[in-house]
Amino acid sequence: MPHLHKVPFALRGVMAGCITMGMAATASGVEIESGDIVKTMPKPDPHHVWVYDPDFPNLTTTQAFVVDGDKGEVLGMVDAGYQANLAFSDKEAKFWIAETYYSRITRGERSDMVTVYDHETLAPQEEIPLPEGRFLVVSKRPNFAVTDSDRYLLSFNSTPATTVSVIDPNNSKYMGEISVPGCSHVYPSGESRFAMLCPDGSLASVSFDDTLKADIQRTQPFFDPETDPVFEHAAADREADKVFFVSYSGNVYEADLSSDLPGIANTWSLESDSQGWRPGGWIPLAYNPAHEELYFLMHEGGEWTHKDAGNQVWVFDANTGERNRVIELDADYSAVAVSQDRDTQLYTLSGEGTLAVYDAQSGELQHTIGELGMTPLVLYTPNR
Amino acid sequence: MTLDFDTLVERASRFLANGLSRRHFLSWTGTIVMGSAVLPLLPIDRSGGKARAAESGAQDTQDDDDTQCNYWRYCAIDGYVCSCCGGTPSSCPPGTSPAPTSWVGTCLNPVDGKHYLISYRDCCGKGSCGRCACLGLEGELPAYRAQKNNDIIWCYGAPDMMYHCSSAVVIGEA
Repeated sequence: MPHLHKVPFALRGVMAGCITMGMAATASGVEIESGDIVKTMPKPDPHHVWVYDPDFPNLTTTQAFVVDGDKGEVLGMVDAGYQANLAFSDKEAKFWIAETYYSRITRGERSDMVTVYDHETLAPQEEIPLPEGRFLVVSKRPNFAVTDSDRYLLSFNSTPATTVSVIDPNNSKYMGEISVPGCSHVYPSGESRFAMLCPDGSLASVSFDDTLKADIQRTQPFFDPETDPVFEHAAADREADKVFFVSYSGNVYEADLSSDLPGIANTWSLESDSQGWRPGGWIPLAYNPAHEELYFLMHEGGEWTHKDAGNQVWVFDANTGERNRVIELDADYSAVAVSQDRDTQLYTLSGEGTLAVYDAQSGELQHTIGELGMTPLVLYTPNR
Repeated sequence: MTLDFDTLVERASRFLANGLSRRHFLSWTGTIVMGSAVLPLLPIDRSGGKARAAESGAQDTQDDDDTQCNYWRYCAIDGYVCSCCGGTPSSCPPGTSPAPTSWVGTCLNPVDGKHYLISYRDCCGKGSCGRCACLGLEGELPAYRAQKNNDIIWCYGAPDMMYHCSSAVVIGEA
């Protein structure tokens, strides 16, 4: 680094000009560069996968990485607060983070908000306060969602009485709470409807309007929540308003959320228990709408192994329940996701911070990307 | 063995009612009645090396060292063990606050062969201790069955929602 005070004043401007223009070259021919360049994000792509890290044991300042699954490279990172959740626009290059902070990091005044982000710069644009707070749990996707056409944002809340905070993203306005006693999480369907899982093993479907007047319809209980509950993480077909749930023992339930009256359209089994295998991990399943296939992260184990990492992915026809193939993973992983396009990529994430990218048809390992935070847990594959 | 939900809630409620203000008790029982409480949880692989073996019997657990993940009371714990952070299985480290709410589990004592109801109470109000991560999964249910879920930040009713560590208080025979 030259000491500018030793350079004749007249030359300083020349040097600065060259550096700014990025035009100069050293005697050896290596171009002198400007350090002022800030890259922007490429446009949203089906092979961009987001990795959220709740950052144990820190917890207060967390982050999400964006990874290009084709190149196997990190594209950028965003900060987030305590046990945050992300949701992605289908219409614009933007996304939202629901997050929580304390004014003195671990103490002081609590504030909860939805932060609006621009995709191109990964920069925060605006904060929409959540005056009633949000559910604080080790981050799980179905606690925050955007409805179709970006009509509403929904943030599950627990004080511990359960409500859903509704936000109008188009007017950056918190609208209020919808109370659905006892039921948890949000599985959106359509522009102004969402489902919730209830403690008796049923689903509630909530249709609402701009006044937050809600019509709540319940299914009959369809699983035993005490002995064989379904995981909270589910796999949605947003176009068809279907949500697939899987239970600890491998029973699959297809929920039809296409009308105000929710129903269970289909039930089948992975038939894995008899083989000594179970679905598990933090995110045990994913759905690809182009091939109408379901992907399950599997491990060898029995009862109460539901958070064990898996080393195989079993791929099923979502309509027939037939197993199409088994993908052997190169290590143990705790979350699974798939791209939403026809040229499908499979993503698996380990708690140690490694993301693996596979060709979802051939099962070929394409990339492994490490050091994605301290304890990453959650994958997002925006539907584009 | 497992307890049915009502029995579990009733016993845990009775225990908590003994030591709580009416306001806290009402808020907690309200939560349970509504089926949505909260609890702290650690990432799966975070405690991976220290995770308890699934379906572990009494032969795999011990009653001597409460800093170890196979200590018998930790069968459904998820978090940093308070005994490694300046507390004990039934007390919080200095400067933290025990949450009046908790999740519950049923653990087998290897000495007397009996099952006990364990209240996993989070100690709150500081950043995470980060020591002795331990994950137990026996009887652990998803967050919509909140009272048996160990992922929730169980700091409801504490001065703030910052999770520090998890205790494991015996509250009765199951």
